[in-house]
Amino acid sequence: MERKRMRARITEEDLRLSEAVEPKESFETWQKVINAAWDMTIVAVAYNDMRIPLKRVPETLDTLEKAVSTVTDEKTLDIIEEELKTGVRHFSDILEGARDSRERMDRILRATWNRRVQLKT
Amino acid sequence: MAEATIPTFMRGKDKIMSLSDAVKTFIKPGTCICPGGFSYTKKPFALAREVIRQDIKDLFVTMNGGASICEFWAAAGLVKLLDTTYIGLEGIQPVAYSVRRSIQDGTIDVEDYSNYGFGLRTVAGRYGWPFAPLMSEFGTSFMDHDTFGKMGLRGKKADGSWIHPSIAPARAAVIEDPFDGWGLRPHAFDGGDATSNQTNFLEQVRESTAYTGNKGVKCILVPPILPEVTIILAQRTGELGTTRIEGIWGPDNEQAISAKNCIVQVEKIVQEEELRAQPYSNTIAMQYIDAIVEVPYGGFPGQVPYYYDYDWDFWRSYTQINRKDKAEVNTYIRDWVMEDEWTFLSTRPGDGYPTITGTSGLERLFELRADAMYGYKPGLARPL
Repeated sequence: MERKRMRARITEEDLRLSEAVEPKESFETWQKVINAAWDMTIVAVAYNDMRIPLKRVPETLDTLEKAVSTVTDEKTLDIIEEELKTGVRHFSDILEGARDSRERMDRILRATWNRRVQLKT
Repeated sequence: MAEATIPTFMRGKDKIMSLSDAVKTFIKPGTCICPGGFSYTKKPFALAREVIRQDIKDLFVTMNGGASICEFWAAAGLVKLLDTTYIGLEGIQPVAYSVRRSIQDGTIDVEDYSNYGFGLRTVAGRYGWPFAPLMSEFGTSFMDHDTFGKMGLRGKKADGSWIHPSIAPARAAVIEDPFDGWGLRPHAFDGGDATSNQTNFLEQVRESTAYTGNKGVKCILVPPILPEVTIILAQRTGELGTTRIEGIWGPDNEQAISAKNCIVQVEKIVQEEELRAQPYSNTIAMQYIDAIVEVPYGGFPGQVPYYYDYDWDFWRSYTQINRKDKAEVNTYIRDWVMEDEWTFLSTRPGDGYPTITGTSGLERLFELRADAMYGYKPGLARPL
């Protein structure tokens, strides 16, 4: 039905501009909404770059785990240890940032629901 | 050091300006202005709307990559000269109607280049080359026309200064190739040359006496573009001007660096270190940016990759509006921009054109949000 409406010829009535209306929401509120949306987008765009390599890491770590038992030189173990320590540092940062943000998202979703209920009553 | 002589890269955070101040400071009647972006994508529409609000007339517009901004300016009667290559609104209106009508009735004088020729002009402007070489305009009518030349806008005045600082003394020049076609890969390697980057017509070209009267390979030289002001849209800019563009770049980098001044309209101003952590991902260095204007959603009704899609329903209706009487279109576009950008964004999205959901203002804008996985909004209805 809606699709049919979109295909229909646009009428003169459709094209009429309205007068400026007082926005139902304040500029400050919209600014906060957009600000948070843009920050989450910046992270989502960056994540897009690492999505495929990140999926690959568990598999390469499995292979490395198996390879550890075949190492013959202690210096190789030093190198593996250093690489893993660096990995732990980076991945902990990612985890921490993601967990903090994720928890807040849950909290705000609950607050949104509460506010919706308040507005209805 | 006097304020006017402080180089751009030393100016620091005072580059951050309001929309109104940025336009007032850099764009004057007659300014040679170059809008960035490509087609409906990443067009600095908030700056374009502010130019209409401030009623800045007699603009000299030079641009590569679609006419959507020039269309609005032409509708508002603000354009006098146009140096360009493509004046379409893509599939929805292959020739932007207000631009076309103004060219036909003589309100706008236009100089036209091929897409490739104009693209090379922007590259020459970026690198500071005196000209760029090409062959693709040979045999076309581009070589027969010189509007600005006929208008007496080319060359120098009696006192030695340029008649117009943004118009080259010639539209193009033809020279004999000093390298005798060697750069066209005349199969000089043992066993031939398998690259596709070569011409099959080299021998025919050698025999031609066209353009110079002599046999041999010829080459067209086109001048760089030298705009006074380039306006671009980016997703993120650091507070000193380091700019990162995601998605299609279009000619933004070239046109920004070619210009005397560049204003970047940005979705979000961020700390410089956020961008400098990955310097290779940045598009334009801070010293080329003179003003930063933060306008989230300011690219509406166009698209900003990863943030929001273009409003197809708007363009579908607009291309019906711009075919009306010229004075009526002029009134419409001036009403449409409203008195400031916030009032515009709260009122105009979804207003004056039918949409499926019937939403308007900020609600409509959020309906156009892109999926960061794709860069656009999959499933957005685009009925013809």
